Parts: sequence; structure tokens; C-alpha cells
Amino acid sequence: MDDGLVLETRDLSVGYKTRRGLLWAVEDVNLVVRKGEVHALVGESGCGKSTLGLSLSRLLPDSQVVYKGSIIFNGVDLVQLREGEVRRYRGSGIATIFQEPITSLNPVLRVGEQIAESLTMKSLKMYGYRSHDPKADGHLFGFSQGTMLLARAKSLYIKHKEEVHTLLSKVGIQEPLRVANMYPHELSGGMNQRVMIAMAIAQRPSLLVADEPTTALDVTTQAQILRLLNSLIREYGMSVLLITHDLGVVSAVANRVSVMYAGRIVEEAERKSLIEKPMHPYTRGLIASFPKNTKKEGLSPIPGTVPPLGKYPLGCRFHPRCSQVLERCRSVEPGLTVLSEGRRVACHLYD
Amino acid sequence: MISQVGSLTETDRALLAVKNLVKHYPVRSGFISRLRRHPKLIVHALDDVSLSIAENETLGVIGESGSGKTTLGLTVLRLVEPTSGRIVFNGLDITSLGYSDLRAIRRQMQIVFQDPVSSLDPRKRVFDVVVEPLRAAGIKDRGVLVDSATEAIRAVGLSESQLRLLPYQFSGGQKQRISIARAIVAKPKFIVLDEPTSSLDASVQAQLLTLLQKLQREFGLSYMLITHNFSVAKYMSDRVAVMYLGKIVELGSAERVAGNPLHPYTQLLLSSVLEPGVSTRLPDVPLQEKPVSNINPPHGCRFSARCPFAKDVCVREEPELIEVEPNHYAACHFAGSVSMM
Repeated sequence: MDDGLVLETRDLSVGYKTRRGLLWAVEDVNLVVRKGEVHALVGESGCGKSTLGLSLSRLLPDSQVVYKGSIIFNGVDLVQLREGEVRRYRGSGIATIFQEPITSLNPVLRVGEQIAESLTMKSLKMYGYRSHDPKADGHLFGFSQGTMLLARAKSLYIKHKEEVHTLLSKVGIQEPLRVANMYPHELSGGMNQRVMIAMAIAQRPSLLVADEPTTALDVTTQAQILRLLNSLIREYGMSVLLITHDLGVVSAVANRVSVMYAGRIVEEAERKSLIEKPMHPYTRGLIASFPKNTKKEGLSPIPGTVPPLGKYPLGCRFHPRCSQVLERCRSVEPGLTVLSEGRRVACHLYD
Repeated sequence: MISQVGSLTETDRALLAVKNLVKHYPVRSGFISRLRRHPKLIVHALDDVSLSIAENETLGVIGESGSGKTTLGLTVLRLVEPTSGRIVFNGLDITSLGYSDLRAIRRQMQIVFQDPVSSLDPRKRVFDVVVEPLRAAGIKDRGVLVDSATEAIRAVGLSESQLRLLPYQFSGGQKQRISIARAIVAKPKFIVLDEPTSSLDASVQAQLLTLLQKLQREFGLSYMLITHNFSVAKYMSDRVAVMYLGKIVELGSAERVAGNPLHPYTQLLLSSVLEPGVSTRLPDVPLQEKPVSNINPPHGCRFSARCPFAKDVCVREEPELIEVEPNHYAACHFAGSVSMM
């Protein structure tokens, strides 16, 4: 693994154990994220983008998921580690932020307390905190666990006040003292997303997985949040895996782009060449779906929808929706082939 | 105040005209704060909104969350009662129409909501969902219901065999097609589209926008398209109205508003639009620390707190919506002379 790499997946497949058997949501993905780059993962819903993003720090419940292949982070294969060992990499190695900040934040804790918590995840053992231990009983000295957690969060905040306030100002909050004492419901969506980002960067991760971080926000707020991410990347030398379905966002911030369809990467390229010369018919369809400036010029949407998990067609998975389908596409699945430096595409048109 | 917009000649040929519409929600205050005589808080969801929509026309209503655009859509259908103002539909003043008269009119005005999951009854079969507007209008003849439902479901690109299914058996895009089928089944003249594609993928959004345009041509519909997405509004609308904190700040043809935005807020919105392109840059949007709120908004221009060009007069006096160039209105003291782009 060369030095510039932060994360590499090798033939990574992620399957869900369901009543219909094992269903592979991500298949044979080879993804490379370099230091300081924003790598965008694009596709419609149901293509496996979020599954891939979550599986990178093994956030999916181990009891319901099967991994094949490897996730190499800092020279270590995360797939091989035990749950307790993976936890060491979360937050300090790979941090994740989600689409709806309000559902990811704890409604009963003040913002400052939550950030203090994420600052000190390493030292939680000191407080006797065993989050996933089913045997841990709910009471300690006659207080419920909830009460203990609240008390602990408060004491953490008091202890780490300075650091929390620094983090809040890092994410562009001008009155950190006031905001730290507020609850998530008192803040706007954009402010909550800033709080989430503060928590994510608390332990200076080398990779930030951002799963649709601006989709729930207004356009003006979206621009602010993306700008913030950009400046943090520069300051921390952090890499970002940006999961989004919005090619406008991709155009504005990404360096490289991987396009996913039905669990597989179908095209990978530099942002500029992907937007200028999209090769895979799916990528072209995604770009053509975007309503352009002028009125009634006509859109050319991709017909149909993403096939549901486990009901992928034979041959190329995109062929039922493809406008340039060849005979071969119905029976032979195209592999991801390297066309030129840094450009890969999985389509029979380019064989 | 803004009689130019709702002038008589325009109202005459308009399908829907709204004049000086106001909707205020009182904020419920606790017993203690009432004892302490705290000032009453009022949410100004709509303040003095006037506009009109002609037949076959699409009016786009653009704004951020909290701008009052959804309240406007609900109020023109009288799903929400206005505090004051007038709503004229097809030459008839429906502002104070009684329940049964309103019911008869409602056949001609329908709505498609943002979230198809929560706007379809999960226990009703698609058939029952789709024919609901007809049943509400008192039609009981099974044959008529079946014929209308079949026609509507085909028009939105689904098949009649799917009428027997339940909503959970459909994808998000298909659910939204069912909502659209329900909206067109009673052959309305006017449909409010409240963020019809916001929760959907770009590809599905493109399919639905194309469908909505086709239906407009076929059935001669008028749309009020409520959206926060400027690209969608530009693509779909003949005219657009930009709303900020309960007020219309700019109104004009989609081409003019997008091509020559007069209000700084419109300019801000337009510069924040990210379209796929090689030269797409991130705009520098000034940050506002406190969330802007339409609870007891200040005198003067409501955008002044965020406006980089704000002068004393902006804080003192509220600008009126005036015609800056032909059929292009803006509510800004410096309309057209400031530019953020």
C-alpha cells in the first residue's frame, strides 16, 4: 500500500442476512481514498452507497452483516478485527456524519456535553461505561443508567470546556459558549450539522465519511457546510468520502468520483473528466436528469428504477434501463476495466 | 398596497387570484409568561401576499424552509384558513365559502404533497386512494369510479392491475405517481404541487417532472409549484415568486428572474444553486448566527439582517413590491442596483 493512501477496499462485498437468504448490497468494490482528497460516491438510492459508507468503519450490526474481501485502513484489515478492536478506529481513524443531524444527536444532552463525549470516547472505560454489554445492569448506586449518563456527560463538559469551545469555533460557530449550552432542538439544521462535524473531527480522524451531509438542508446552508468541510480538509489534511446523489455537489467539491449502480462501481474518474465526458450510460443518464437553466428544453430521464436487492438482472445490471444496450449486455456482466490513468468503466461499449 | 400585481385586468383572466393574503399563527404562551405580560408572539407565516395564476400556467414558488411557501399552497386551497385577504378561484370568491360549496369547488383544485409515504393511507388499496376525490364529490357509481381510476393511473404511467395493490408495494417514485393520479382523477383545473420531487432521486425527479409537463398539456392544468430547488422551478415554471419570511420579495417570468435577479435574496439563492458542471464553484454565502425567524419580524426589510447591502433605510422602512421592469416585480429599496453575482 503506497503512502498516499488512506483507505483501500479490496474486492469488498457486504451482504445482509435476511429471511430470503444472504443478499449482497455491495459487491466486489475496489475503492481507494487518497490523503487529502474528496472522493465522491454517487448513485441513486438503493445502489449500496450508504451500506458501503457504513461498512468502512463496520457500523452495521455484526450479527446481520457478512463481509467478504478486505478494508485496509492504516495497513490494518478492519474486516479481520473483532468488534472491540474496530471501536478504536472509530472517531480517531474513521468518523462518520449522517444526513439528518437532528436524528443523530442526543435530544437530552446539551450540545457541549455531546461534543465532550466524543472527545473522550477513548477514556470511557474509566467511567465504567459499557454501551453494548447486555449484562450491564441498568443501575449504579441506586441511580438509573440514564441519570448516570447525564451526570457523566455534564462532568465531561466541565472538564473539557476549553476544547469543546475551540471545536465549536473551528466549525464556524461564533458564540461557542452560548451554543454549547443549547439543546439540538434549539438549533437550526445547518447549526446541528456543524455540531455533528465538530463531534466528527474531535479526535482528528484521517477519513471522514459524510453520508448525504447536506441533502436535508436549504441550498444556502448547503453552500456554507460544504465550504466548512473544504476548509477543514485543508487544515487537518483529512480525506472525505462524500456519499451523495447530487451531481451539483460533486461538481463543486469532489476530486474523484465513483459511480455506483446496483451494488457495484460502474465508473470511476477524476471529477472534471467525469462531468465533461461521462462514459457509462448510467452516469450520462444521471447528468441528463438534472434540470438545466432553460425552460422546457426537455429532460431525458433514465427510464425505470434501480432493481431491488437480490433481484438483479442477468448480464449488465443496468441493461434493462440502458438506451445503448447490446446483445452481449443481456448475458455477460462487464468488468470494471481501466481505460486510461485513473479512469475505470464497466460497460461493453468500451470493450 | 401592491395593487399592481393583482390589478383588475389581470384578475379577470386569472384562474386563481390571491389578494393581500395574511396568515398569522399565535404562539401559545404559558400561564406564567401571560401573568408576566410578555408581549404576544405571532408567527407571520404569510404577510400581504398577492399573486395570480392564469390557465395553463405554472407559477413556481421558491423559498427556504420557513418562508411560508407551503402555508401559501395550503391557504389558497383553504386547507388552512387565512387570517385576512381574498382568494378568487375561477371568478368566484372562495375566501368565506361554506363547507358544502367549498366541497363542490374542491373537485377543481387538488394538491400533491412532498412525502408520498405519509400522504397515502397504508391500509387503502391504490384504487381507493385514487378515487377519493371522486367519492368526496359524491360519486358512487362503481363503473364511473373504475373508469376514472383506470384512466388516471394510466396517465401517470402505471397499469390498472396495480390498482389492487397497497402503497407499501411501490417505490418512492411510483408512490408519487399514485399521488398525482389521485390529484388528476377528478379532472381539476388547478393543482398545488408542494415539493413533489424533493424526497426523490434526481433520475426519478426527472421522470416525474416530464410526467407533470405532459399532464399539464393533456388536461390543460395550472400548477402552483412549491419548491426550494431553483433549477426545478426554472425548468417547470412560466413565472416564479420568491418568498422570504412570509413575503413575496420577487415575482416575474422564470427567465427574467433567473437571468436578471433584482432582489439580493434571489441573487443569494441563485448563487447557491450547484449544477453539474466543470466550472462549478462553491458560493460564499454569508453566515447568519441566529436562525432567522418569522415570529414578530422586525419593521423594515425582513432580509436586512442577512443582506450585505443593507442601509439605514432598509431597517427603517419595509420595501413594497414594485414593478422594476415590465412584469418583473421586486421588494427592495435598491432593486436592480445591487448585485451579488
